[in-house]
Amino acid sequence: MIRQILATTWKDLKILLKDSGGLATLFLMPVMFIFVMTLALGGLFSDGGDNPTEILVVNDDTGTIGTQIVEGLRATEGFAVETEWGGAALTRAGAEALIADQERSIAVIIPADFSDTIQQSVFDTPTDETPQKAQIDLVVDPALSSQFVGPVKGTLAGLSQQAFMTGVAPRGIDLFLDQIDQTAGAPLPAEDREALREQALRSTAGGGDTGSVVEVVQMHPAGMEIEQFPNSVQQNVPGWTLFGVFFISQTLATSLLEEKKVGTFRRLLVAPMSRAALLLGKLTPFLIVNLVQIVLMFAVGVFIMPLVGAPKLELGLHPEALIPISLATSLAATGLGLLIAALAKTAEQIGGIGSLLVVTMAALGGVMVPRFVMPDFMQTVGLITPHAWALTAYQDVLVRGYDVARILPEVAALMGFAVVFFGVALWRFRWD
Amino acid sequence: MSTIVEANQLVKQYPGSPEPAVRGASFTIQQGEIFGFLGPNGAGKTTSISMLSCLLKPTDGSATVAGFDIIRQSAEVKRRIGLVPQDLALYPTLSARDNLSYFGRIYSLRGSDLRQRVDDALKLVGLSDRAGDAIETFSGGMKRRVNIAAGLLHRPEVLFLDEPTVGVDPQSRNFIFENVESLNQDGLTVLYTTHYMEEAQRLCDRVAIIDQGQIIALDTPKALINSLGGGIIHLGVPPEMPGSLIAEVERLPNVQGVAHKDGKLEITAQHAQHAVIGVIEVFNAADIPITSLEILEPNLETVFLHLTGKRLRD
Repeated sequence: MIRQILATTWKDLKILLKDSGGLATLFLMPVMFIFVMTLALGGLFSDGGDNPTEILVVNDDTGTIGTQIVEGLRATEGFAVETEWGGAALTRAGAEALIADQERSIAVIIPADFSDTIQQSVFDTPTDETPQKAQIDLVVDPALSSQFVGPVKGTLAGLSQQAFMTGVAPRGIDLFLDQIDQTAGAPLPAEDREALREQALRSTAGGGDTGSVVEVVQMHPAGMEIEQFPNSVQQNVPGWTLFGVFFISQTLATSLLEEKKVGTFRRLLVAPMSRAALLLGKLTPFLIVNLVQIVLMFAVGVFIMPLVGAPKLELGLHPEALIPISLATSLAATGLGLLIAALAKTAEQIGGIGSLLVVTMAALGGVMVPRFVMPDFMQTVGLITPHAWALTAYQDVLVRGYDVARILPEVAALMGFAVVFFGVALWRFRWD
Repeated sequence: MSTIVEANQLVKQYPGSPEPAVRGASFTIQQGEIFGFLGPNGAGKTTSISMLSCLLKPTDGSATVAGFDIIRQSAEVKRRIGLVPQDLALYPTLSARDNLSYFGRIYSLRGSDLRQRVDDALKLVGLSDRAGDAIETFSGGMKRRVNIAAGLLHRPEVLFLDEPTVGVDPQSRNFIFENVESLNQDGLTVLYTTHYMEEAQRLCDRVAIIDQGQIIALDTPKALINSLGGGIIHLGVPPEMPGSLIAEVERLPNVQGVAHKDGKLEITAQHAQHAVIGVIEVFNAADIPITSLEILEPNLETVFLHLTGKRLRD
C-alpha cells in the first residue's frame, strides 16, 4: 500500500511539475499579492504618517527635572503634548481613563518624587549601594504598535539624559570643586574655578548615562488586555500565503475530476489498490506543494520584502510553532479540495464552487481585510473559516512570540476543519 | 479448456433508472478464448465488464473470474484481470514510459522487472521509439495502443478490452487486432466488447449479441451467421398484405422464412440473390407494389438486425 501511495504521489508531483502555468499560479499569485498588498497597505499598519502623536502628560514632579522633560517633549517635532483635558489639569487616573476609553493612546506620568529621587540617587547614595531609580511611567494602549511606542520611549530617554545633565550635573561639579578646595586647604582662584566648571559642564553635556538613575516603564491601564497587532508584512505574508494554500483546493479538485473524466480513476479502481491508498496518494503531493508554498512565501517575507522597503518578516521567538500550524492548515486545504471534488460534477462547477469558497473564506478569514478592523459581528463570523484560525495562529507566533503550546487551540480548530472537510467529502464522494 | 469466467443471471440496475442496464446475463468464457460482446452503444456491454472487473456490484446474480467470486473475493479477481477501458485512461502530460511505469508500480512491479515489462509492453504495441514522448503528442491510434499496453503490464489471466478501437485510424486498428490475436495465441483470455461487427467476426471465437441489457444470441460468429442462411431480403410493402401472398413467398425455393411487420417484409433466404427474382415475380403477378428492396449479406450485422429489428449503429 505504501508503495502504491508513493507511486501515486510521485506521479502527481510529476504532472504538477509539468504544468508550468498551474505552478506559476500557485506560487506567483500569492507572491504578487504579498508584494502589492504589503506595499499598498503599509500605511494602514503604520503609526499614522504626518499626524503628530498626541501624548498625555501628567507631571506631578515637585522638582525641576520633570518640567524640563515636559518642555522637551513639547519641543519635539511630531509630538503634541496635552497636560489638560476639558479645561482641568490631567491626573494619572484621568489619563488612564482616557486611554481605556480609547480617546488617546499614550500617556507619560512623571511622579512627584522624580527630581528628588534623581538627586538622592546621585548625591546621597553611598558608593557601595545601588542607587534608587527615578521612574517615568509610560502608559499605553495595548493595541498600540511598537512602531508607535518606540519613538516616544526613545525621546523620553533622551530628554531624561538632557535634564539630568542640566539639572544635576552643575550641582555635582560644584560639589566636586568644593571637595578640591577642602583637600587643598584653600579655595581655588575664582577665575580658575569658573574655567574648570565650564570645562566639566562641556565635557558632560554630550554624554553621561541616565540609565542607572532614570527608568521608563511601559505599562497598560488596569483592565485593558495586552494585545499586539501585526504590521503589514506580518499581516500580508501569512494572509496571502493562506490564500495560495487554499487556492490549491481547486487544483486538487480539478485533478481528481480529470482522473475520473479520462478514466484513469476507473483503471486504478480495477487494480488491486485500496481506495484509501488511491486517495492518500492523490492528496499527498498537494500537501507537499502546500508546505513548499508556505516555506517559499515566508522566505519572501524574510528575505525579499526588506529589499523593497517593507519591514522584514520576523519569525517570532518560537518559529518551530509555525510547523504544526502549517501542517494543520495544509490538511484543511487538501480536505477542502476533496470536498469541492465531491460536490462538483464538472470543471465549471469546480471553478464556481471553488472560487466562491476560496475567495469568500479568505475575505471572512481576514486575508484581504485584517479581522481586527472588522466589526465584532464580522470577526465572529470569520471564525467559521480555517483562514481566521490559521492567520491568528501564525500571528500569535510571528507577532506575539507564542510557542507551540499556546497555538494548540488554533491548530486543533484547523484539524477540526480538516476532519469535517474530509468527512463530508468522503460521504459525498462518487467513486464511479 | 476450462472455464475462466462464469456469469449467472447478472443484473445491474442503476439507482434512479427505470430499467436495468443488464438483465440476467449468463455466459461462460473458456480459458484462451476471445469472447465478444457485440451490441450498440448503451446495450450494457460496459456495465457487464464493470461488474466482472469488480468496479460495480451486481444488483443480482453472481459471477466468478479465475474461480474467484467477483463480490467476496474482489482483490483476487483484480490481481488476475486487466482492463483496457473505453476511455484513454492515461496521463496526457506524462510520457508513455512514465504512464506504464506508474501503472506497473500500482501492481507492485518494481526495479528491473518493471523496466523489462514496460519495455516489452511498448515493443508489443510498436511504440518503443516514442517511449519518452508525452502521451498528448500521440495520435489517437497510438494512445489506444498505450492504453492496451497499460492493461498488460501485470500479465493478467483475462483481459477486458472495452471498445478498444473507437476513434482510431485503420492502420492502428489493424495493429490492435494483430496485438489481440498475438496475445491470445500466447494463451491470454480476452473479453472484447465492440459495436463493430467486423471486429467481432474477425477476432472472436464466440460472440454474445447484447441488446437492451440482454444477451439475445450467443454462439460462434459462423453459427450465428449460418442461422440466417444465405442472407436477408427486405421489401417495402403496403401495410395490409393478403395472407395468401405471404404464403406463396414462403413456398418459393431458397426462402427459409418470412415476417411481415409495419409495411416491411423480411425474407430469410438460403441464396438471397436467387430468391429475390422469385419474390419480385410473385409481387408483380399479384400487382402489389414494392416500394423498396434491400438484399443484406449474411454477417453479424444482419444477425443483429434480424434479431432486434435495429442496426448496430442506430
